[in-house]
Amino acid sequence: MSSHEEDVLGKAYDARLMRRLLTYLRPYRPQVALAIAAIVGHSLLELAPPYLTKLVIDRYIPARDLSGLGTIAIFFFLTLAGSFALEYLQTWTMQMTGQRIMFDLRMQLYRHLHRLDLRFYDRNPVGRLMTRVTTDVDVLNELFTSGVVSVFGDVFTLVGIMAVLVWMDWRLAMVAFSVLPLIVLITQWFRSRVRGSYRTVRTWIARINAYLQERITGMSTVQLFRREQRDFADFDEIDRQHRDANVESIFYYAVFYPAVEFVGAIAASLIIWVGGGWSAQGALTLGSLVAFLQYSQRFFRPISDMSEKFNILQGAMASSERIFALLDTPVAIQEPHGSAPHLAPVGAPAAIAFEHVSFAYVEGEPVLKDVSFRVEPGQRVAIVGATGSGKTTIVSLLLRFYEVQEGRITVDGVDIREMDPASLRTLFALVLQDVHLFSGTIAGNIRLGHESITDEAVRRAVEAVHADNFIDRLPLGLQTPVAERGATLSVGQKQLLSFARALAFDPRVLILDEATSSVDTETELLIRDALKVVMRGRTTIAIAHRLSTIQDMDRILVLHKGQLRESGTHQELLAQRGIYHRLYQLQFKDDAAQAPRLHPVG
Amino acid sequence: MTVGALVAFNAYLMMLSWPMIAFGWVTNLIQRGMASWKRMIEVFDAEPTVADRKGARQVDMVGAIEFRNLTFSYGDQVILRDVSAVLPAGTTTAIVGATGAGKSTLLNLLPRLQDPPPGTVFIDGVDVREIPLEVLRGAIGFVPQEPFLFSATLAQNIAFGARGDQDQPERVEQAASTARLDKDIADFPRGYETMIGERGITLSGGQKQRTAIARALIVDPRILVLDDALSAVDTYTEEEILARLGGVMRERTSIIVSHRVSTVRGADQILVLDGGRISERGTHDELVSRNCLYAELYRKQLLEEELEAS
Repeated sequence: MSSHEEDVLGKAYDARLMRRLLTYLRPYRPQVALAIAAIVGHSLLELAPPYLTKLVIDRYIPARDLSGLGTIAIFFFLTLAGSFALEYLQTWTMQMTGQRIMFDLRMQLYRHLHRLDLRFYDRNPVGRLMTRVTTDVDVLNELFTSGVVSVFGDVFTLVGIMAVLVWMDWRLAMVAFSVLPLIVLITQWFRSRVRGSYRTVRTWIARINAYLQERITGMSTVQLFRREQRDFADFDEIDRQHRDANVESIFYYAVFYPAVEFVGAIAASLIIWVGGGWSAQGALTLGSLVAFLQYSQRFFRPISDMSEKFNILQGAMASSERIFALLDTPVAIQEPHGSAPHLAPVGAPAAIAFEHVSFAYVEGEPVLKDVSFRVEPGQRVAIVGATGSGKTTIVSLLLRFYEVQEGRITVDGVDIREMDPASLRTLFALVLQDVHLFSGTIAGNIRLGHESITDEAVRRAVEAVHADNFIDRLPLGLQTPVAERGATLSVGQKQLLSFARALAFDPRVLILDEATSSVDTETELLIRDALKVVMRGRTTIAIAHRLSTIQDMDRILVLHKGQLRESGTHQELLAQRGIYHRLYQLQFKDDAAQAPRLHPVG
Repeated sequence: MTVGALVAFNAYLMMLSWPMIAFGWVTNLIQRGMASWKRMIEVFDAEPTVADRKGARQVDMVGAIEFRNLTFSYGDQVILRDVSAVLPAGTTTAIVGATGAGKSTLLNLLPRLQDPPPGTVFIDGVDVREIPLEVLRGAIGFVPQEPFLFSATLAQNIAFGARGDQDQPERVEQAASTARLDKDIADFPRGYETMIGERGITLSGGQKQRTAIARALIVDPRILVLDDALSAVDTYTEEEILARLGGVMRERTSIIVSHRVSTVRGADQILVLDGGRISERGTHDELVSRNCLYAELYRKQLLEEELEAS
């Protein structure tokens, strides 16, 4: 389960997080100020109607003053119209600001994701990161649009009503306020309960997401191993827990709102009972009594509203904590400070050197130990070794997908940590073990958004790797759409495309990572043929399991358990009778035994 | 009109405003609900094309496979053309062929990851479409080209398809050992309990493939399918795995897809797929003597050796 980070929800209110959240409002200060002014004005206007009613009842009706009534009616109308205008202004300004803040936050998150290294993506599944950029940002939007600003309105309404009530008749105000302790108790109970259940709901929804993401991605495996029923039972359990947690939180809401209404009704009864008595005795005007009743109705709505805001606040705290944790994930691969180093001109082959490089994905389990070697400009070097010997890691470090932990790597004598990662990577073209295709056309997958690569260049690249054989058989040729992840292409076809992709970029260094391991022998020969042309004038680093593909390389490095054990040409290494010799023997001894005539000894 | 009526009238009027607001809000909710509902209907309405037929027959698998005049297409693209082959129970069949020749598709039709046309794929003489999926897939140990592992412990991943007491630690260890994963596991800090995936360690491509092999072996299948399952494994390890698998494969019907002649030469029969058709079939020796595609492939690989040896 990937919910471990969702399991721990922070405090309901965290001043540090809140301060940081408010910094997102900073660019929109005028809008926020306008919205606050509007909502405060709105709250003040809301105070008027009950008082106007009181005036009508106490003054103008007994006096039968029709023109006075007309004036009040106009006032009443103006108040409502003004209140409408201000509410519209506030809603519109805040919604717009909220959308802009969301936009800013998403861009900031996405930009940060671009800068994080692969080690981060090894640990964080796609689904979780998607949630950060979508759901969590939405929760913050809610905080900005209906939380922060309208709290001002609620507070002003409350304080305003209290002030007016005390001013009109402080004794009856005390009667109305007598229910407040009850409200405080109910609100406290609601807050503590809802907080706990909200946390549980979040945990379970995170588990649902993680579970579904994995099982849907691996659906064919689930089906092949007939796990459907067991997986269904697992999901049933998670889903049930989620439902129960939701039902629990709904219970608290279902109790809370009627309870607040009920307390409001108690307050109204008290006002009618006590105030009605006073009114009958002439100690209170009828208009005041009516106004008191109307105010008391308006008094309880902000209270339940604020409790609702409390939930938004809590959700926003949890979301912002996760968003900030993501934004604070240190970027392991930093751009250099100061002036950019000088590199050889584009097109010239680059020199590469590893100097005492050590690296571990997990602390205490080193993958590379003190590896040093040089690749001269234009040289073709192959790295061989058993599975897990660290071959792929060498490439990942060279491209700075990960940062070296000891030693350094240089390109043309410059430490790669002093280069901007983007321009470092433009030096290389990489043909990876796992080919990732994006949805789009075949040509688009070769061009990868670089419109500077012409149709002709795409065509040339395709022909150079002999991918035209299968592409031309497709209904739309190069314009044939590729399904997501290239589902309709075979592994070998995808690999040919990734070759073409690498060639189209005309790199200074070509990196082949087990590029030909899944292609049949015939295709492999075709590719090798093309590669000879491509490798000319470039530095090449090839990683392969098949010894046959690398024998004409200038130099072969043999990695064994993270250490560089042998280095030399094919012939030299065979003569050494070491690890390479053993790998070689193993690969061909069967054939050698059965075809002695074709395989002269020595 | 009394003052009381006026006050009451006013109060009712105020109460009216809330339902009006709520009405607009509910309309909005309904529209959003409808939009979501439409998308859900799309998922519900996607017909499962692969499903148990009524009267699907319960069969005891022996594992004899037959492809009979099988033609299969993805949309307009014909992948397999008129493929016919008999794979007797207990034999090993190797499939070789160029990239995109249809090898993986042919294998996917067997456990009905995709549905073959009726009357084309048979196990023990029964159309696979007539065999309950549970029985069919239970009889096949499938190792895909690009295996998918779950974020769980190694032991749980190996025992993914285990039924009954198949998930006992001894069986897990035995399967791991046959797939030559045991040495790797011994190096892991927590052995079989090591978490893999996002919250644990990242396995190398070869380790993933070997885990997938162990996962297929533990269900003790009648039919074992290896779809280029050793491509990310180095030659030394491949050698070892094939040697250990030898015993297992003798008791089952096995299908191996590979590009290496050394891997497929021991098979009882070799099928050469070319552009979706079976262009050649026979044993290694027969094919080599016939001087066609396979022989050419073989010669090329021999030639490479010769070049290297010189």
